[in-house]
Amino acid sequence: MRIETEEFGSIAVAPEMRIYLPEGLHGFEEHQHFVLLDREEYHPFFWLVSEVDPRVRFAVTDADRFCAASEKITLSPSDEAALDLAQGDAISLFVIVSLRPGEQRATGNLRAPIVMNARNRLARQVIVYGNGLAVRRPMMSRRLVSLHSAVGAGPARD
Amino acid sequence: MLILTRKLGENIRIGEDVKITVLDVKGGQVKLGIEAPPHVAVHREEIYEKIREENRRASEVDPRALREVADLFKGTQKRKKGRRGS
Repeated sequence: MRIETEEFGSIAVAPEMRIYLPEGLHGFEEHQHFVLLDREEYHPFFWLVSEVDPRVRFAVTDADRFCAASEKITLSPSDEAALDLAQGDAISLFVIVSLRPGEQRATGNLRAPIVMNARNRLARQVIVYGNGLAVRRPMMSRRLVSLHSAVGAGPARD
Repeated sequence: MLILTRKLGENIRIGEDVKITVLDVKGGQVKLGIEAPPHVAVHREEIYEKIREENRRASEVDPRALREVADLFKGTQKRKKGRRGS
């Protein structure tokens, strides 16, 4: 399968790139099927491109870019059920990124990350609470960069 | 919309397993206690609005601008690696 996009050209969709969000994203409920586009020039960001309408796309990054090991995100039983999470399943945690126009400052929505069950590619935009889990958490601040290097590249999830 | 009047300490039940209790009324504020099973998500309405708004903003990110930020980020990582090596 291929998706034709204006911004990223023609995307050859492999099954391991697809993500299924049965509930869509908040405010974008009609977009349930996405492709995770990994292009070197955008690292550490990826693009989540809607298969329904590829003009709808979101920049995401790995939540490890933001989270120290102490900030483990707790999923509710409703989230676990929505992801059909079973013992031994690995999850991926993505944070949606936005930019303030004209500024080279990225923020991530830590309040509502996208959690994906790596086994079945089922995902949900969950709502989580906790210190520092803001809707617009700055990504490039020096404190966070040093925090990130202090905890190493180890995953903040398990 | 169904409208019910409740006194302090009284409840409303929604279905079999959701119970809302009026705990306190002070000034213009009402404190509610909500008992619901774990599979029912309970959030303030504003948080949904905030997340919808942030998703909408995020959907307008310009790929060229993001690429510039990505380059900045790669630069930071290179510098960090360099420092560690010296």
